[in-house]
Amino acid sequence: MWPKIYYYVMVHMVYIAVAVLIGGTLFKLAVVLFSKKFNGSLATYPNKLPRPIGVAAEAVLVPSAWRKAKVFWFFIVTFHIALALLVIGHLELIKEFKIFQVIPHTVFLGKGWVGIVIIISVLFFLFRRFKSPWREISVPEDFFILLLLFITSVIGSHLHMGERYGMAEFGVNADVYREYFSSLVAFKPVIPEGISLSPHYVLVALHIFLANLVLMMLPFSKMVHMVFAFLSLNLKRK
Amino acid sequence: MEKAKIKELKGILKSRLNRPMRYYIDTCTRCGLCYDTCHAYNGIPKKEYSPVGRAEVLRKLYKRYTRPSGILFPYLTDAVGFSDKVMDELYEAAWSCTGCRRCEVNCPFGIDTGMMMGVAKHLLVANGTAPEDLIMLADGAVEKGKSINEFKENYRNVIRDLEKTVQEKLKLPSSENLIPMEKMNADILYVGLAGAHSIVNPAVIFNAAKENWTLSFFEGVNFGFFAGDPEKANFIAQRIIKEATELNVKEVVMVECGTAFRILHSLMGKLPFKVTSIVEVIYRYMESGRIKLKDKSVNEAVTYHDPCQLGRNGGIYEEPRDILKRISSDYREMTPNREQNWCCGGGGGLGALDNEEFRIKTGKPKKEQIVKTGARIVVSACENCVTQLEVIKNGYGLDVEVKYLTEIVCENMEI
Repeated sequence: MWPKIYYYVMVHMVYIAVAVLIGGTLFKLAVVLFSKKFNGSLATYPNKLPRPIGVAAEAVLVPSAWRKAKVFWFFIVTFHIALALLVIGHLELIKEFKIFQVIPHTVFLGKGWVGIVIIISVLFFLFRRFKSPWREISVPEDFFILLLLFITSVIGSHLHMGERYGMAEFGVNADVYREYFSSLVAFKPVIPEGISLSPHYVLVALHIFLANLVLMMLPFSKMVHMVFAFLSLNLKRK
Repeated sequence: MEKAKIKELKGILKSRLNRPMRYYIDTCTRCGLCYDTCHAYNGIPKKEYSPVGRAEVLRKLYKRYTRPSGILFPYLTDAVGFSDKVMDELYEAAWSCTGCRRCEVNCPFGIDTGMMMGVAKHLLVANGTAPEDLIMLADGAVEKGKSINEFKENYRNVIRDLEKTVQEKLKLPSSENLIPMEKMNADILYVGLAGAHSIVNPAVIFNAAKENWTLSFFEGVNFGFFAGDPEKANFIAQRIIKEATELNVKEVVMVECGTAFRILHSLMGKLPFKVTSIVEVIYRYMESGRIKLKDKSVNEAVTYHDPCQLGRNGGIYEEPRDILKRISSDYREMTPNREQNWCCGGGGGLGALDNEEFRIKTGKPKKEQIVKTGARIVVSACENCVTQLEVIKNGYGLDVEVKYLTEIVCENMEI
């Protein structure tokens, strides 16, 4: 039974998660596209920058947080930069992209610090919610997502650091992951022995299981702000 | 709550799910950056008076009925269905929000809580628990629009009386045609309010500038919008659009009423005429020399309160300041100002309700701003704001004088 569950998590669930992520995001965008437009202007003033630049600046630099809560702003920005680096790192586990080697590195970028930054940021976001007034406005989903991200990144970071610094016979390196992920991309799934015979294979499966949950939740939870933030900020300048 | 009522409310909830609402429902991360950006929360620090606290009441309903996460896992998302308790929460949320949108400029995603509270008000109308006073005022405005010919003669008589006041102020030999009505092809159609001050002072300014203008039969205020009834709001706005189109005017100039200006300027789509505020027109006259203001003729300290719908939501920041700096020798800014200015607490229809104690408490940030300037005269360009500033003045015993911008302009104009 366990080998079946293991195979399901490592193969079937990955496909389902990616399908839900892409399909769900496209579905949400399609629903928005076909929903009734607002026949007027929702602009607030002043709008000093041209619309696309203003939207991008507000989405990326988060000036509203900078004005009000500098420590929170620091963690928002570092978390999102780290998240972007993490996505690049995981893409590099599928194949090598020359463009990412502009800064020569071995996978992952940041020598393990990216994961640590994510863990610390998530802990900051989580503990912030234990305090009033943020505790009162939080709903279970807020804690659930943060806990999910925390556990996923702790395990992911553990796997990476273990391998990078040769601890506890990890030995599951980028080449092994590339064999696994590229087989999934080619729709010829193979779980290499480098993973399945590793003493740490349960951790790999657990990390992938939790990451699958994150991907599936993304379009249907508040994490969709990754996409919608740009659209709603656009309205403010239209 | 009866099943039929829940069905009706669900229908309204879904019908209001337009594109912006979809963003606002899904995007909020409850980061809490908006929490203390609301004047109401600053005056009465309750979760229900914070922007996110308000929006969540409506968001939870949307989740319960329209979002897979809320339908499948209501506990996880805190989704709730319609009930009398929820409708009470919705009332408290909607009728503590002035729609000033200060929270929106401080939200990392630009979520318009004002629009969300518009949906909440619509639900309260359907539930029969919206404020009756506002519903009656909206009905009155709709009735006037439907049978305008019955009102015209009475209104003309009132205007003839006002023309005499304008004549006295301008020291003219005759009062004839000082407030023209139903004038075809005029350059300006001016839309006032029910109060005489909203017609007399602008009429003095238009005549001093020798403007080719005409007065609207309708008042600019939109009680349908305040009440949260989109059909009535649209009907009330369309009365003015129809009148302006039939008279073939080039420009519609809105009275000192922020919401009246915003509705016609920003919320009615593309119109066949230009929409401006009286504030912009005065500035235009001043700059082109069509009216002459007495330079630095006011020696007492003057400050300006930005009406949210003119400033933050209309982009009119510098014109009133330049006018006041011309008139006053001691102009002082409130802090913060412009897009970060605190709402006075009188907008969104709240000023028409029997809630003075609430408005005094929630006017606390504005009171503190005024006191810090040390100004003796507080000027604003919005009926609701001026009324609310008077409430704050009396409630906190402030030694200030509150004036309309048109009023101080008329007092300091060379005639």
